[in-house]
Amino acid sequence: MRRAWAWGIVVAVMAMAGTVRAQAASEPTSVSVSEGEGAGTGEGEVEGEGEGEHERETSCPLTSRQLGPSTAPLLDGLLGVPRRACFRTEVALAGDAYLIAEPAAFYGNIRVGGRVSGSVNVGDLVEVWGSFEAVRWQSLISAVSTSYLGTGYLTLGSSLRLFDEQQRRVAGWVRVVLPTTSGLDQRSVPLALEVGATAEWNAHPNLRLHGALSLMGSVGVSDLAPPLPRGGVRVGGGLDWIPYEWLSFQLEAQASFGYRDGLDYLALAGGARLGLGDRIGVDLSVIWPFVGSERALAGAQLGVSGRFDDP
Amino acid sequence: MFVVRRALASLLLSLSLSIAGCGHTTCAGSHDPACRTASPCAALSFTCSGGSSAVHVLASGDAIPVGPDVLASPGDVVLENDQIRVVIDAIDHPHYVAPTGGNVLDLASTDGLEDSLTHLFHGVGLLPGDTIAYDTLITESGAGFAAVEVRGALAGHPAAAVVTRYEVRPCEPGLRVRTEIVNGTPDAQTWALVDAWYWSGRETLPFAPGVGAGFEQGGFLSPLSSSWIAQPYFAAGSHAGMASSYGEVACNVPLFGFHTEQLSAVGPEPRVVPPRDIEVFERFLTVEPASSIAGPVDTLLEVRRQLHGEAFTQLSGAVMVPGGTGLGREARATLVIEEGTAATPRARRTPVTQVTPGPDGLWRARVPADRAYVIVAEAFGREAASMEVRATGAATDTGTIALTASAHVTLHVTVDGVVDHAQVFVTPADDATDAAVRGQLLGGFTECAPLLGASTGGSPACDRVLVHGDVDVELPPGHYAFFATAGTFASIARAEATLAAGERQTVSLAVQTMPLVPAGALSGDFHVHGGASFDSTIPDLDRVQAFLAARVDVIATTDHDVVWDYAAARQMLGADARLHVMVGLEATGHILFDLVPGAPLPQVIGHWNVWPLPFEPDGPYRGAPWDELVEPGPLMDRFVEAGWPADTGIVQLNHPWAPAQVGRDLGFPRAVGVDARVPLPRTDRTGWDGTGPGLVMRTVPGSRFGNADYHTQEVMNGTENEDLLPYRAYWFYLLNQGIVRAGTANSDSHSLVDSVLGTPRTIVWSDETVADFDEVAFDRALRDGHMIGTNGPVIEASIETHAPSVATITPNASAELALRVTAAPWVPITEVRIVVNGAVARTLAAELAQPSDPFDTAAVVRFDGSLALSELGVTPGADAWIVIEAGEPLPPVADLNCDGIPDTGDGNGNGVADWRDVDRNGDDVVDGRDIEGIVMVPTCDADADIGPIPRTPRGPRDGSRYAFGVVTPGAYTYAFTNPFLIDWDGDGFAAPGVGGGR
Repeated sequence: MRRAWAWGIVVAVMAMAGTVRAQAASEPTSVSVSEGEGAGTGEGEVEGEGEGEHERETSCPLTSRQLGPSTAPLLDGLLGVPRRACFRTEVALAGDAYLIAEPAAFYGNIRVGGRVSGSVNVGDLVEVWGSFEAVRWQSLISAVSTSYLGTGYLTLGSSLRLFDEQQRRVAGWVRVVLPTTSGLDQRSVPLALEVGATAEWNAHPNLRLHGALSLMGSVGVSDLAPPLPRGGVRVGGGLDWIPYEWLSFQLEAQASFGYRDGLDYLALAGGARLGLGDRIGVDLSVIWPFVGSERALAGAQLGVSGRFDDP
Repeated sequence: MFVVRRALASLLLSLSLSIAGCGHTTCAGSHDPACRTASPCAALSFTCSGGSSAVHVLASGDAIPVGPDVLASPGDVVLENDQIRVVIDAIDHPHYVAPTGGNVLDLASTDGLEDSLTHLFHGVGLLPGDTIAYDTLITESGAGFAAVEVRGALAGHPAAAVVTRYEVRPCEPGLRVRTEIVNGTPDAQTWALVDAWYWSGRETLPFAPGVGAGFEQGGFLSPLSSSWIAQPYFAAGSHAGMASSYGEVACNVPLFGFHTEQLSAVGPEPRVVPPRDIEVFERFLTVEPASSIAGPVDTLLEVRRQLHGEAFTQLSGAVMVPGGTGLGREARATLVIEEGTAATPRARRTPVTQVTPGPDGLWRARVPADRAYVIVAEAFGREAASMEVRATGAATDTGTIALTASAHVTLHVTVDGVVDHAQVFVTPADDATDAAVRGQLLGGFTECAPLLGASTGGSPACDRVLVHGDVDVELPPGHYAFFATAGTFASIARAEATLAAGERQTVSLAVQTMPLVPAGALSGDFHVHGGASFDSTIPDLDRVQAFLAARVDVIATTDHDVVWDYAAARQMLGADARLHVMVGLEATGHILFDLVPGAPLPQVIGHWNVWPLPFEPDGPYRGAPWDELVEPGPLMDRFVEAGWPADTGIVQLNHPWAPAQVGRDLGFPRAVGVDARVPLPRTDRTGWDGTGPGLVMRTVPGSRFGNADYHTQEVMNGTENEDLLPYRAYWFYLLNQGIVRAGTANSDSHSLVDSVLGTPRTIVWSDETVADFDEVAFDRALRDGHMIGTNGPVIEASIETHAPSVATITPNASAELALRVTAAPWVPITEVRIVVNGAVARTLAAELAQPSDPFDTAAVVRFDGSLALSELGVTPGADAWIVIEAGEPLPPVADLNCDGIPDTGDGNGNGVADWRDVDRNGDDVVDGRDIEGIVMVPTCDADADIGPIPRTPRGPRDGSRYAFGVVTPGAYTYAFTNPFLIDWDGDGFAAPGVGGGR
């Protein structure tokens, strides 16, 4: 029953992606070619971003570095991690970590995962993406400590370009998180859905601003346990400082409401992103919740991505 | 956008339909009274004719199970069928560790009616918040079942909803249970959902199959999660006379768990439980009216056959003993059936069951089929014979196991020339016999030489026998010495006998009482336990017989968490003509809470005796108040609500510096972290300073009592007095600060073995007699400190006309301390110490008279004289307190953790107590391995490894103290007076301060 629903959701997402792909093929976009990134130095260098004179109908730079909001996760299946507004075709490997340490409550929660992700850019209009937590180790530390080692959650999603003009762009996106763990979720499998929008602005050749807003919800599916639905709003915004074409630093403020409590957290996120050549990117992101009911001390992700978009 | 909207709507619709379609069925968290949890172990089926099942709320006067651990009271729920009777405690009747009712309080078979269960509760871990707080109880009965359903949540996580269903069906020899718990928190949790069988020690020996396991359970391992061992089932029996044995098997998951003599915890394998997941545990609990575990194991194997298709077969046979006597008692002969062959070392075999032959020598037991077994016969706690057998699918008669004949002795003891109550200690008279007879019943509880009976049960227990008239004892052949005693103020009679197999002899012993208790005084033991306590299984009759054998005049009954009066046993033995029983309680903290702000671990307030309290035969806790989650002062408020007369009764601080057991503090000052090198914060004057030590003198707002408003403190607790010096140090610490509480000496005996009842005891000067006893006047004398504590010596001390007391005296400058020390000749007294302000000011040794023969029958005056106070350095100008001690020299001790209280003795026997005496590897032996790799040990470190303070050995068999060592195991001789408080000016006692002003 639970597996059937999981497959049903997969089919739904794929159907959505297929529909979008068909639309993209039949309705060419009229978004104009971006020019702004070609000016100045660093990221704006045409050679660095576009690798040539290929005309693209987007303001998105085609750097090998990762772009967009912080990718450090707090929730399972990357729930609450906003999706970038610039689409690309890539594969990525990443490791993420999560830590709760509350000695006074005799509670510790360490989670480390390794994931493989991929995305397909469909005509700069739609991006279809997924991420599978291929390895997940979680250790709960208390008077009686336990741990889990197995597969984690599968995330599937798609983004749709909503706006892209004058170095500003907005994308809407939807994500589902599917229960692909191997023994962790035993009698209730969680499903999660997140709908959001991400806006980015190339404010300066060395400075990019971004913001994201999403609505997220999750529910348990079980023949015995209650669904215990949760829903919340996550908002965040920050900047990328790009001193060199191949390097950027990121700082971001995030807030989440309603998912755990009235105020889930206020958090700072930061990171560094490297571009290695034309196609390889390295991304380190850390999030530090400092106010709210979120118990995590920090979450972090380190990833390597390879971009396949043709210049 | 249309596409996104359409997909999102489709997904949400799917989810909604999914949720609605599934419709959650757990009743955990439900407030719907019609919600019903699924029946546990649905695949099980037992049939019989004439079965029944019923459930009802217990009303006053209703029949309840019987047995030493029965605690059912009106309001509790009885669930029963034709096989068993279960009592679920009412939601507002919490017991022991559980924060609420809703747990199994009593469990007995309907034919045996012997409840031996302390408590069975549920939890998901070991922390206080991991227990389950039930808030709703629903009863239900229908065609073919009766059930109780309790709902609530984890005590520390209200979002984690729980439901437990207890169900009985006709014909079934057990209880079905299903627990569902939902992780409604937003975080993953580590849950070890368990049935926690609280045995509490000295009660039950758990058993679980496993290589080298059986009764040899690993208990708590490090890391703790590794303690959970897979096991097909587990069983437990008390092995002490009339009792029930229990067993449990899981129905829906593999069973994991661990076992100690305090606790068995079994359930699903501990795991990470993500948010929203639900843990479900179904099991079948069984009970049989027997000490051995074969009864429950037989049922558990039938359950596993039905659930898992595991075949079993029945083995049967006979045990033959020449003469045929004694069979039916586990100490004489019991069988452990172990999977393996004779060639398999015993440590590699897998015990599967244990059965005790009946009086006719016949036995039978079920075992898993088609395996090879070794049947090991144990006699007197030692392996006596074994045989190999192959269990096929058919029932197998294994034939006869022949055991060597035992010896028999008839103990004939007289006291003052007539048959009377006494106690006999049986000891090997030579090393060869010691080596040949030293044994342990099924590897549990106490090692005994010889093992005459279960150490936790009635007489004979371990190596001790209560006698009144001729008593026959069966024991292994050997050369023995028999020591008869009638308490600390009587002679010891000794006899030797060499007993061959099959031989029967009579040993006659004549004990003479001695007029050692001064006129106007009575001796009392104000801390004793019997079967009503959760950690004792001694029958009431044996307990009261021990009162009489010890010849104590006054007893305060202080069972853990229940009021108990031993009335039936007292009446049966005519005890009230010879002693007075004051009915009370030992309030015993179980539920950990944040007692000390900022402490790394939650705590309890230790143990507190209180008397008198009204005994309520069918009330919750039999009249005791619920004693959890409070400081001592508010606890006294609860005593008052339970009927304690605050103006005349006694509250006693028990064993103030005893180490914690199973994470539960036993002594209040140690729990709150008193540092005896610095003054106590006087929070009684300044208000609480927020510190742990500040709790000692604190009065909780709204309470009628301060935490220090107790009346007496145990200076001596337990026959084995290894903790005496810490208790003494704390008492002196308080006296030095003018916080004066009377000191007492009590046995804290829980059985015939752990401590000898009446040793030590308190002699109280009150002018009461047993025949004309005024409790109020007697307790007033206790409050006033008109008493001494002793395990043998009797100290009579006075200054002018004043006896020791918590009241101040104002003597003349030329006053003298008059001192007389007497004792039975077997009591070694080599020192009399006069302690002034906590330091020994004078030691009398050469001046003491010594008896020539420890087995003489006349008391010996060891010292009779006087000392000028000025000789002791007590002179006008400086108030002082004086305590007199008599006995053997105090053993060397050290304070390695620098809290002002001794913590480590001379474990390696080199004459000095220091860091080399710490048992760092926990093997109960202090030797070179404990200091391997340690290159430097700081002289003072609060986190230093400490202990133990060793017990005192008996000494050589021909030594003068050997008799004392036999009847006072593990102890050195010690007696103390309460203080003389010298107030020279009559303007109030000016305490010298911490350290005695030095």
